[in-house]
Amino acid sequence: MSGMRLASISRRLTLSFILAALVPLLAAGWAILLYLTASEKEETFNKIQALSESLASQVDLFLQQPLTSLDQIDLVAQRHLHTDPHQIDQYLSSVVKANPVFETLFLITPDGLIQHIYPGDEDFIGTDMSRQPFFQAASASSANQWSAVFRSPRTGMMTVTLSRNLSHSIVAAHLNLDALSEFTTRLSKHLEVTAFIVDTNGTIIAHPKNDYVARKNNVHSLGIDPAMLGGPSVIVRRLDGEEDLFLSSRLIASTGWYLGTIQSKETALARLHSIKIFLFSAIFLAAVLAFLLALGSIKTTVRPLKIFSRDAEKLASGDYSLDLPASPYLEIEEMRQAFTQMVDAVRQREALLRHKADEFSCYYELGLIGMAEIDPSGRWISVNPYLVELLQSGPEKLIGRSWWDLADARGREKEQHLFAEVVAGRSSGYSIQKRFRLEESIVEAEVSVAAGDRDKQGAVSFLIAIIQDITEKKRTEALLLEHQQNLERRVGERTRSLHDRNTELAQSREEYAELYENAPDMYCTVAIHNLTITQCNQTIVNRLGKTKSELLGQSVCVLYPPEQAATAQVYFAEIVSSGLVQETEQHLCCAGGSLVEAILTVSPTLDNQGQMREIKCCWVDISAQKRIEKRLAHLAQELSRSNEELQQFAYVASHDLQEPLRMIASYTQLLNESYGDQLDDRAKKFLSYAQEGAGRMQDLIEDLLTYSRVATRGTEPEIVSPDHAFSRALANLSEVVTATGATITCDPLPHLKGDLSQLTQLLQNLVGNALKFHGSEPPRIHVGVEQRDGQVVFSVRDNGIGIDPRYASKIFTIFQRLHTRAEFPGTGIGLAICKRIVERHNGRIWFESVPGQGTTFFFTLEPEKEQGGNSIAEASS
Amino acid sequence: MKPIRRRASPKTIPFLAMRFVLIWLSILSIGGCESQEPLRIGFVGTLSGKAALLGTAGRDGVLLAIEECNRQGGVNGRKVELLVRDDGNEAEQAKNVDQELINAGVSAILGHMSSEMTAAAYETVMASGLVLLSPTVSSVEFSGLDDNMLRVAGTSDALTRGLAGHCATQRGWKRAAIIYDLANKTYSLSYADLYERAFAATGGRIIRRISFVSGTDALSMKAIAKQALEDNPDGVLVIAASLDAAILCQQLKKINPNISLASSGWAFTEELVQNGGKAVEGIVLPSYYQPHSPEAAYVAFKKSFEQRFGYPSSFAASLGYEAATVVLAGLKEASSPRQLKETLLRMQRFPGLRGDLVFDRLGDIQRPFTLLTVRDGRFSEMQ
Repeated sequence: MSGMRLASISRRLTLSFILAALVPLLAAGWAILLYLTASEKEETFNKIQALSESLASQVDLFLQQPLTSLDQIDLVAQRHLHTDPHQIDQYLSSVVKANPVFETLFLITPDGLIQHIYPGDEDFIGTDMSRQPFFQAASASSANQWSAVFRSPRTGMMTVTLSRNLSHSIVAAHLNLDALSEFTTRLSKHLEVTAFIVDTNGTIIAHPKNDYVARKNNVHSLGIDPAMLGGPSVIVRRLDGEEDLFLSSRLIASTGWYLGTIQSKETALARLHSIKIFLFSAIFLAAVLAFLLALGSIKTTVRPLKIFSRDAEKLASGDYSLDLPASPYLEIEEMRQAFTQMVDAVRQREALLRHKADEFSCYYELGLIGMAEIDPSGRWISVNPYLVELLQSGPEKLIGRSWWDLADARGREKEQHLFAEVVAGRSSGYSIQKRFRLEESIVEAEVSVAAGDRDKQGAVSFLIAIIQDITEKKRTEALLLEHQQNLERRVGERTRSLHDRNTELAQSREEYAELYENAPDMYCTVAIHNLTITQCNQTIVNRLGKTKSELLGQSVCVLYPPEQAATAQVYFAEIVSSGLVQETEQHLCCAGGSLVEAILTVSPTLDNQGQMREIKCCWVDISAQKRIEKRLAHLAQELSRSNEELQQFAYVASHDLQEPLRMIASYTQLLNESYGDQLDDRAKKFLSYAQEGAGRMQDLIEDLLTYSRVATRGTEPEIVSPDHAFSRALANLSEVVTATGATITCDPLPHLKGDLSQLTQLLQNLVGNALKFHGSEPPRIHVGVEQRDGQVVFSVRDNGIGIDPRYASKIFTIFQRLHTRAEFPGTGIGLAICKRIVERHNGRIWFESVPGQGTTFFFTLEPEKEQGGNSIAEASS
Repeated sequence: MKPIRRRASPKTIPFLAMRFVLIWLSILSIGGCESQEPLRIGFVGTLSGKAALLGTAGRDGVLLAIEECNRQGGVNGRKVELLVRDDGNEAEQAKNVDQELINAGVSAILGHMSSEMTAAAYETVMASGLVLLSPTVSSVEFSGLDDNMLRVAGTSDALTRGLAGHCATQRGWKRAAIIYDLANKTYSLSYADLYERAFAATGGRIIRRISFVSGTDALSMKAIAKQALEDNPDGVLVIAASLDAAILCQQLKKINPNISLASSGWAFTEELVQNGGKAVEGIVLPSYYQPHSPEAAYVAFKKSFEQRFGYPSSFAASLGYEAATVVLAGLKEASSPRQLKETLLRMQRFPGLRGDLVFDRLGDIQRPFTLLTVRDGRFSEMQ
């Protein structure tokens, strides 16, 4: 209700009285004024119109005089112009003197020269008037010509020229316009109107004010548009807009001039103005009277209301001691009784409200929830202790501060809109979750805002805010939400994983089924309770030449020949009873009765309780393998026998050949010793050839025997030291080493399992080879060892003549030589022996060589694993 | 509970009554309200008597310009009111009417139309600090002065040099006489002197100078003419208003029909032709006004003027119009009437009816002039 303006009964009553008095008066006055205005206007028009007509008649009459005079001048001129010019001058003089309207009279020759003039002297005679407009107009017509107004050359006054073409000359008269102005002055002086005459150019030629004429003023200077002249009588607004004029004008036919009469509207309607003042005064008096009457009525009506008002104010201030007097007026008395009842009701309600207020105050001060009052502009008005503690801020810091200051910016715009809706009365309140940002913490709160009180226009005077701390609740919600999201994510991942697994499983099943059906082995599944086949693959069906329907549901014994069915029954029964699994070779029976040899592998399948559920059987068909084994055993037996025979032959041959060879050698030596001097040189030469051949034959047989003994006379492998073998080989070669001046070095060699004598032979042959095939420089030989691809590789490197790689395949072949015996002696069996020794030790031998630079022989053996500390290191022998 | 605001209580009834009376009085005084005060400009010139021709034409030119200005909204929204005064061609009256205008609060005075009247009222107007802008004054008496008088007509010296040169070279004048009207002696005397000096420069000689005072002189026009022709000059220069010049020309031609005649721009009105008859045929006079100029602004002005006043415009009317447009333009820019002179000189250039008007630093103006003659009863420009 704050600020609301209420109508006043006393003002309303006063206004009603005044209106009641004024409205009829104003209506009547307005009607009277309308009538009188119209009447006055008509009267004024009639007056100035009559004046215009009267004045126009006077001007016409006035202008007739000079015309009459011109007629007479015409007559005189006709009579005396050529006979007695002096008579003419005298006549002109008399005319001018008799008629003040004439300023000057001329008689002008047809070619424009002044012939006679009055008043004027001789100087003017002969003056050329031919360029004067009046002369030119008169020359062209016989009618009377009225010129435009012009300034008289003689007097300097404004004048007009009246001219006429006479029979022998042209008569012209400058007319004095003062007479016309006198007409207008006379009229204006008595009748409060202004009369004027304007010429055809609109120039004023007659006016009560001579200045208008003397200064050649245009009718515009009267504020009148020349176009208005000659029309009906009208009210015109002056051109300068200052006042309205009543205008009436008449054409003066003889001259083309206009005569106008004007009267200002103010003057014309002066009487109306007086009536107006009278009327307004009467209305004013009536209004005053009505006002006084209103005051009397108001006193009676309003006084009880004032008492009511005063009591109401007392009531508002809490004072219930009323002093309402009884009223003689029915309505006021009823109001008094109602007011008294209202006071009682207010008193009861106040007690109730006070009780409620106490309750609210208790809640407000002691409650476990934040409460505050906010003004409509959004500033804290009050806060309760709980809220002070919640917001960690004293009331002095909150009160007067903006409601939005502590709040988080998020959601502010929305809340401001809701707040504005409440303030505007379009909403009773709202609830919102918001966040208060304190100095060191954040408070999540559930905020409810409601309008506290409203005035009659619905404007909110203050708002109540209830603030509940939900920080913990929000935190828990956030945690739950996070857990839920994690769970959902994991479920999703697990679902996807399961889906992938299912897909893989299905794929695996398909692959398994395909593998199962097409496996090279024969599968079937046997039920343990009756040993029937529950599942089998296509392989067993194909291999046994039966159909699946012949197998499925049948006892497993149908797979076996009839004579072995009982054994098979027992076999499977034992597996079921004991759970022991064993691999066994069996014969399966094909459809045609043929047998299939197979190895059976059994795999029991257990259920969740660890109980056997079924038996998976896998038969690997070994029929082909068995056939190959038999064939290999037969071949091995044959080969063994053949090797033994060959070894025996070689040994026997070499051993048995030695005896006759020794005989040949001995006897040829004896022959040479006994009979050598008896023989000629040729015979001696033959004999030496025979001895040499026998010797070489012995060497061959020795080497061949050695070669054969590699396989037959070898000892059982044992752990040996290659260093020992190397030392023995060097000892055997010591003479050659000394002879060649060779340098032989050796790495520490690892222990290995082998035949010591054969290893000695191997090293001796390789080192001997290097000593034999040396170049121009003394041989340098190095025996080394290294690890290659997990193998121990021995090497014998020299700087000899080298070996052409083209002979790589030949040099390890028995009796193959790359050089002539003359170049390098030998039997060509040494490297063949080396190869045989290495192979007997499950090794491999090869070489790398650059001709002219040297050769390196490599070989591998099956050495015993190192037993500590024997690392590869350089050593020199 | 907030208190209820009462709109009125019985205690306020006397105030109500007072308010009612005031409203009533205001109703009665409706119509008494006045609009914004008009801007007043004064015009002063000779509006009556034989020399009134320039004055009335100049007044009407000024009036036309002000009416056009008011139709376009006035000066910065203020209506312009023209206060017209007649100096009567009398020095004392000129001072008085100028003082009247000053007292009436005019912002500037346009006038006078003759040099003599300007000289008479000069001190009065200068003392007021108002701008006096003359449409027609061309006398060199007012040249070179750093004062508040400005003008839109050129000075006489250029005119007299041009006229003397023409008379000497084109008309063969060696010996000439001068007749001049002392009623406007500030103009006529200096004009005669300038002409004599310029004529002497051409090798000519003024053999006789005859002065008279229009309307008051004892000598008749015929006697003046006789004196002028006594030494048989080659030509006569008549420095007089148009009516007097016309009569003098008639008298001169009556005595010597072959005499060569010249006049000043003062006589340049239709009345010279009408009253001079054939005597003024071939007369030569210089003027800053070209009556047959094809400039669009001038053609439009001529049409408007004749429609408005019912008679043809003249050089005085056109110069009056130009003077008024200059003052109005200056008042639109000036912060106060006292600043009008500085404003006009700062603006310097204004559109005229026949090209731009350009003030020099002292408020004088230079314009091209034309030599005019009367041929077949009409003014025409000489080649």
